[in-house]
Amino acid sequence: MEIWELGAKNIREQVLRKEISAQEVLDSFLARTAEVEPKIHAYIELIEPQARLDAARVDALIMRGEDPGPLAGLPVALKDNLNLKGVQCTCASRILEGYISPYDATAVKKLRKAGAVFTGKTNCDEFAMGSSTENSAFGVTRNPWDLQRVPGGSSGGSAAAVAAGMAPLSLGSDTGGSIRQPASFTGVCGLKPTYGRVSRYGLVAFGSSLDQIGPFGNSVWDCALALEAIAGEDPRDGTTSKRPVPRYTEGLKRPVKGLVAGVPREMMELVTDPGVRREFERALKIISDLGVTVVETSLPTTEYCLDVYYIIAPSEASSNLARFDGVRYGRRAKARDLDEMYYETRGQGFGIEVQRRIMLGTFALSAGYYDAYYLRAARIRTLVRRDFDKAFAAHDVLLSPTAPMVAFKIGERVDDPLAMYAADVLTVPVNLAGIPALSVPCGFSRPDESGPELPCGLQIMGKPYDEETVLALGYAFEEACSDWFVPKTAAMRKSLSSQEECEVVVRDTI
Amino acid sequence: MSETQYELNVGLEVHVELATASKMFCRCKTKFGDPPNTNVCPVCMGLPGALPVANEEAVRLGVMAALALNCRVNLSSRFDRKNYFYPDLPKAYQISQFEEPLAVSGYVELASGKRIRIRRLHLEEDAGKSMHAGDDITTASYSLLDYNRSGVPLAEIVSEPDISSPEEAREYLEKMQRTLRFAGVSDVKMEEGSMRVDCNVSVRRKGEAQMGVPVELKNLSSFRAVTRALAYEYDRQSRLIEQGKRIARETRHWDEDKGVTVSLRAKESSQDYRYFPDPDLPRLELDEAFIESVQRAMPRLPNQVVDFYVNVLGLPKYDAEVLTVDPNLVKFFDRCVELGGEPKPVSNWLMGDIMAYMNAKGLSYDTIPVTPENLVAMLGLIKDGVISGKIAKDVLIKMFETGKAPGDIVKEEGLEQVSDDASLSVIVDSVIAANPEVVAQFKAGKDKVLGFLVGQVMKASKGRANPAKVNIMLREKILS
Amino acid sequence: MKIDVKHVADLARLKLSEDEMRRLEKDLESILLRMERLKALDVEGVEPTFGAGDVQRLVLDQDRPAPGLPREEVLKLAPSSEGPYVSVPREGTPGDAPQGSE
Ligand SMILES: [Zn+2]
Repeated sequence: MEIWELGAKNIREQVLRKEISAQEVLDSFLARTAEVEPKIHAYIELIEPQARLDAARVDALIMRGEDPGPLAGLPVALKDNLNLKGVQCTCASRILEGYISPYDATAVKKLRKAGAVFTGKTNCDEFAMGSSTENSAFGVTRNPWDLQRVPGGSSGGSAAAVAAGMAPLSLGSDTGGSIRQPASFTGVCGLKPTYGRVSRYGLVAFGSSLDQIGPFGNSVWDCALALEAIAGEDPRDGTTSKRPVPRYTEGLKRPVKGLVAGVPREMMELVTDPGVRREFERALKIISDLGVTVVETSLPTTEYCLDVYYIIAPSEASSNLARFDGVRYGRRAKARDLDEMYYETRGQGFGIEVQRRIMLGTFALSAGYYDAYYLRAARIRTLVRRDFDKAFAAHDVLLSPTAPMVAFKIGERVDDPLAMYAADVLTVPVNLAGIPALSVPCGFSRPDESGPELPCGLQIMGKPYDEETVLALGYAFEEACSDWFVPKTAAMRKSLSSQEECEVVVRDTI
Repeated sequence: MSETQYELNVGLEVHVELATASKMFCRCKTKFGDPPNTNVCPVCMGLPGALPVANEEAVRLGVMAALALNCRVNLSSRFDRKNYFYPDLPKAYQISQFEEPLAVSGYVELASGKRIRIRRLHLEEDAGKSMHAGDDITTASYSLLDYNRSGVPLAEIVSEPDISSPEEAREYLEKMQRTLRFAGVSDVKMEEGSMRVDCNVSVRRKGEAQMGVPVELKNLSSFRAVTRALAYEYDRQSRLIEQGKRIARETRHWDEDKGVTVSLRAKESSQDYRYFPDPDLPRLELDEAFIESVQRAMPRLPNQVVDFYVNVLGLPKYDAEVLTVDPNLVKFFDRCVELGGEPKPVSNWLMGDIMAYMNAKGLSYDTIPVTPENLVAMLGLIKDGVISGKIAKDVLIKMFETGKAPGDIVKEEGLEQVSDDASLSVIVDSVIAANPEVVAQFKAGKDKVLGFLVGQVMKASKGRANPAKVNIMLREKILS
Repeated sequence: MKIDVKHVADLARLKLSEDEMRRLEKDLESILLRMERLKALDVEGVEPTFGAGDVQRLVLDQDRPAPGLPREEVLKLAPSSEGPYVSVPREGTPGDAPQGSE
């Protein structure tokens, strides 16, 4: 077995026991990356020289007998909307091409302190706006399970990197499902923490009241480890909670027997893929075999969530993205005067989906429409939160499929915004409510008779700041499925090696 | 056109920079005059991913300003984003308070007793500075940007359109400036931009119920500019009404050199700021205890000082108003009184020679070149008859220049008043001998000419003779 | 639902071609049409939710200046600069040659 196949937990332990060095770990992942990255295109930029320095630094600490931190040299891939000092931060947008960040995001700083080795910046939908990673100025990322399909989005690169074995851990950001949905599409674990659990400082803002940074890993344990490292109050982000950060890895074995799980019927009505429904129902059976009481429940406002989300997120985005004006950083278009500079810079710099959302949000906030759109959506958001409060008064967790479908084909939905937005229908309610949710692989569906099996995810939603229960249930569920899930992933990875390289497809509307 | 047929209605928007050490939402320095772009960071440059963190002191000073201006402080207020594009605005939105300001319903009371109501006071962040490069303003093709000021905390104070003359506008601004300076919330210097004024002006026929169309005036860089621009606008708008013409709702620019306002832009429809609550900043929640603590820490305000000077110290109201132009002047005066100086003479010297000297030298009141101790000592010398008031003026100049104590100056320069009979007698005798005709006239009953003789004695003594004594001695010597 | 795409694009400072304009108009109208459903909900008296966290009070930081970014770094980020300043083309004074870098 190669080092990259060992899983974060084993690698870390072997490094701490000095059986392997952080540099050997990095070498193994870099070799794997050299092999499969030409097929997947998960990265916008690999930063091998910096990564080698980081790994050497971790080894030096270990040699001196010092604590290298809980991640102990684990390679971590960062979504390209997270600031890493001295490295390009493009958000997959032309407008930030060549922009070298002068500072570290708080989550990045914390990971470095915890002993992480950063491998590079991963591809995503431009400014995290999309559900397929097709809206990237630097080409489409492919799903390791089927290279003709999308890895989901917007954090598709981070999900695909972990799925393909290029990194044991990665960070993404989740505004409406951008961690959980690609985790579901690529068969890995992805966690969106409670709003305020992880500092947003240094995450390029999309929907400020919805955004959270979260980890991808091959297992629930890996996600718990990463969350432990990045969570906590940050004086630079006034929306972070003062609550102490639990030792998530230690809480994983908490008994799940006796928990009450609710399945919102309105969410089930939105599942379009019969395979996804079948696998979800099988997962419910496994969960109730664990001693969890599974009951049907109701979130009456579910059907409105997507609409509310597509008002609030674009409204905030229209303001957050106004700073990309070509004045102080990023690309500036040639112009004779100031106005021309603004129009041309933003007209040329942003892709069509970003422009669409800026337009939508600008409209929703504009004079005469604010009350009917933005304010109304903010009021309905209160109703959504109340629905969740009510549901959590009677249930410890809520369960649903992560996405109503499995990974779709590249190009299939990209020109139909409403069809694309539908991929988020089960994940956006969580962001509106600000609660934590985990996507853990729960089965496979084969939408194409002749095509390969594609993974689908189980979404475990928890009470605010109750990541522990969410993770514990995810961990118990994963244990119960590992005998059949892990071999399938190994087989996928093996077959990936024999696949042909894929060209980088850049869409013309980008 | 009859002047009195029209009524002026002015509302003022005043921006003052709060005197914090660091900015409103980041910890960059606020220092005025530092080299360009040296006090900047990811937050105030609007770099992707940066987030605002509010400054406690800015909030405290905002509350202080609100209380000093008789406002009601809202225990709960909110920050909103004001979205517009301009190169000096790094995030392309300004964090301000729109729907729920920090404070409302205050007033400034004018000398006439009229109150100019303050509608609201809110906190916001300043923008950077843009300058135009090139040979002259019309040919330059670039703007140059300095972001040191970006993010400096501001209080915006909006009045109701209660001001009805340019003079009232000036008085309102002066009173506000003094009050805020005394409260210690801001430097309030128009020339450094720590106080900035925009006007909303409208004119209507007297008796008309409906307000006129408001015109916004910009580029008012001094109080004088405000009064001149308002007078100009009153004239311009009443003439237009007289001619039956419509007044355009627009922004006009005051041209200080030409003394006119020129149309800058029509209030475009694209001026839609799309305000919404800033999701990065939870509500600003204050409690009664905090407000009370700010109130307790409030320094004495000018109107309280004036009351004290008039009612307790017995100064004329005029003196009291002049002395309260600046908190440092008040401090100086109070110290003099504390040291035993008589209020009125101290006031006279401060308002007279000291202010004149400082104005001539362009000094500010935080650097008054004499100490209260020395001024009081000088007044003592006058009172004791050691020097005359006239000589004291020269002594004061010497005090300014050397910083020495008045007693020392008098001694070194031999400026003591000559009062001893022997020395005076010699001078008086010589003056009588030199002016026989005048002496004869006086003897013949022409009392007025004695003044001339006193003058001659003073001249001969180089001002040091005690005039009262000279008077008596002349009478005695001539008439005896 | 009709939407003045040109006006909205002006507010957002986006230069769009005729094609893009038409396309966005169509997309936005179909999105807004879907959102009409929201009008069916009674939200009378419901407080809006503007933030999702449990932090309900603005956090206030002490007024202690801290160093920021060195000027060279700031100017290096800028597409164009002159001396110690960031520079941009001026407002509404069209010159002969296009300004700015690309
Ligand atoms: Zn700053």
